[in-house]
Amino acid sequence: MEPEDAPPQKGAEGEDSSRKIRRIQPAEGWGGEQLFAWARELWEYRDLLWSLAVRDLRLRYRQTALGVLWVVFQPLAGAGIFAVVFGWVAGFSKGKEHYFLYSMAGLLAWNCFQSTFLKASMSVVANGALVAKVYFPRMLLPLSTVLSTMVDLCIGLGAFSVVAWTEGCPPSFGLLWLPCWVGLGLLFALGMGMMAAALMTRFRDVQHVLPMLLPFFLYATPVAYGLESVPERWRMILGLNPVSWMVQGVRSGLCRFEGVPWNGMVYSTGVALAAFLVGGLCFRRMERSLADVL
Amino acid sequence: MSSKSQKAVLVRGLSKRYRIPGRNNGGRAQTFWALRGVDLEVDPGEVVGVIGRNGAGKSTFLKVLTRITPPSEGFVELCGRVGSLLEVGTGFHPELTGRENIYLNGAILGMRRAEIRASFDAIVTFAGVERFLDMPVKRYSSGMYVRLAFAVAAHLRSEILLVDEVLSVGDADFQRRCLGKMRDAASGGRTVLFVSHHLESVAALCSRAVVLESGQVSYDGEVSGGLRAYAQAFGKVSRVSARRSPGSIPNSGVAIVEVEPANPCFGCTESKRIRVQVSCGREQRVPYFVSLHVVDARGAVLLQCDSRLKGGWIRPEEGAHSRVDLEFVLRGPWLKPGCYRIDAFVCASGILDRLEGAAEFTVVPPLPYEGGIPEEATAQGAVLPDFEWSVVQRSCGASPPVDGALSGPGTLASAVNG
Repeated sequence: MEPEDAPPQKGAEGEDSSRKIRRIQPAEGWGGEQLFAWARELWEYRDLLWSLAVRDLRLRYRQTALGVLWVVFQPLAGAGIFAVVFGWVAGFSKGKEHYFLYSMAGLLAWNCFQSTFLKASMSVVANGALVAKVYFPRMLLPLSTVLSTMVDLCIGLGAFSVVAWTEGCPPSFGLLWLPCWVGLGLLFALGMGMMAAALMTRFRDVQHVLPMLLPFFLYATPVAYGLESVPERWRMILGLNPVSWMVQGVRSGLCRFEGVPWNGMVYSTGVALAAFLVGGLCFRRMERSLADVL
Repeated sequence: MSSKSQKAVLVRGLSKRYRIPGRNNGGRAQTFWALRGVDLEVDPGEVVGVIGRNGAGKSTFLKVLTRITPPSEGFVELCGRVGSLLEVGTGFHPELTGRENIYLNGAILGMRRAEIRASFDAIVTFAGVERFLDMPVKRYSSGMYVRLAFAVAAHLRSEILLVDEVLSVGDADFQRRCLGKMRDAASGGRTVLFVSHHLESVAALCSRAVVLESGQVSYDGEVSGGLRAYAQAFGKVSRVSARRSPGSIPNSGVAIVEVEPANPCFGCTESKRIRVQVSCGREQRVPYFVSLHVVDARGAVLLQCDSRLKGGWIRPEEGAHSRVDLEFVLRGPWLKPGCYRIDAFVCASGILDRLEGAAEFTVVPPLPYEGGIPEEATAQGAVLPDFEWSVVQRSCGASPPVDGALSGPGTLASAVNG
């Protein structure tokens, strides 16, 4: 980049801030030096972020007879299956008085991660027609998936509290930690999702691999069981997965608060942030040449 | 750099390289330059038409300008907000209603929500879909769909507008409104870059034309010149192969050597000069005449320029080999923009020589009429009329025609009033 071509800032700030010079030049490297301009652009397009998110929400249950009820049914049905398969058949419910609630809380947390991760990873390829025709910061596509996850979570939590109330399970102060754990999970999911999305634009194989790998990941995450019921030497390995801590944290906040596992919190914050940064950079590197490979 | 001399669009050495995976040459990837060293400067408020054949790099150029794809070399500087109309209806979702799509599409095109809300009514009115706002657009007619999509894009307030072939959709009335909207944009001081095949709208809209040819700028300047350059670029690839067929009188010694228009392209109303060279052997004793047929793209013989109609016959040199240069000047009628072929004939009592497709010329827009002309206004005639019209008599409050068949003049009068 030639230093003499720094865009001349002109005009008073208030007068016409949109009349700035935009320079288009070959994409090179990781584009770290333009990170600031890029972040500002993301901010300028915040309305589109909202529109895309609302579009996803609107489309999801259009032309369905039950509409938004599906959001309630899905976690309930999932928890029911878990309660039957793991609680009753496999006997995981030993020592847990409200196993249905226990697995429902775990599933809510897991779904938060999974749906964001899957949708974010598919977001670019699914919107290929749009990406090939109009410019906008591509990162809005994975980012916009968060809203529908949040809506799902809120509705799921509503259903959960109804069930908890009927079962006589009072809320605890651990609930205050919930946003923190959910935020961590989403950050990690977005990071991984962006990585997968970047990879998927070149290799559609990812599209087939993910649905295959996710169930393994689900069973390796303490959703149906607790981390404490895992043998000591395996606990370390499961603890490497930040989603484990997130699921544990959300569940402890929802069911019976057992304090915050600080080492797990610090560790998973670090991993989630790293994943988000690496995913974002991968995504950004791929983003410019997107229209040519898609 | 003072703000006066600031270009709206500045393009320097812009190149775009694509790799084509090679199967033929041992799997080695080939490189293909879709754009090669394009330079362009556009002042604020200019309306520039970018024309070129398919594959000349027009679309790539627009894609680079709209940041859909990055350039390989060179750079572009855009001063001000950029709006693009690349493909009407991109980002529309069939399941969403018209109202929802207006907001979504506006946001995709880079509009703020408040901005869309402010021009919402104008968009709906322009598209004429008031009654269908809450219906999913998948149930819209294709005309409504396109109108709505264009309406959203047209209300984007941007300093630079990039337009790609939007006029190829919609009916004639809608096309005229689109052109009007773009003209408004231009007269409002916005810079418009209009990429099109549709030469007539380029001629009607643009103040400057840029011709792209294999990824390079081959012409940059006046629109009329640009259209010519474009036609010439066309001419380079499609040369009619002349087909000589023997005349009905064999061994006459008379032959058409060459038929050549003075210019490969003419304006609609311009005099079209065509030179014909005929060689005549000494065997030819009797006078002969030359006839040129102007044939349009559909194969209809539009004009028969027969030398007998003006001045008659050509007398051969007595007992000597001769060569005659003739010039035909076709003043009327006005020809429609398009490609024309000339068939040449030399005849006496029968055909001495004939050369079909002896030459070819192109007629380029603009049309010789005022204002925005819908395509269908010239679609029916084979040539363009040089005519006037006026209202000779108008009868107001006259009793309505009793006979149903007489309703024609009434509607005509109301159309004139409207």
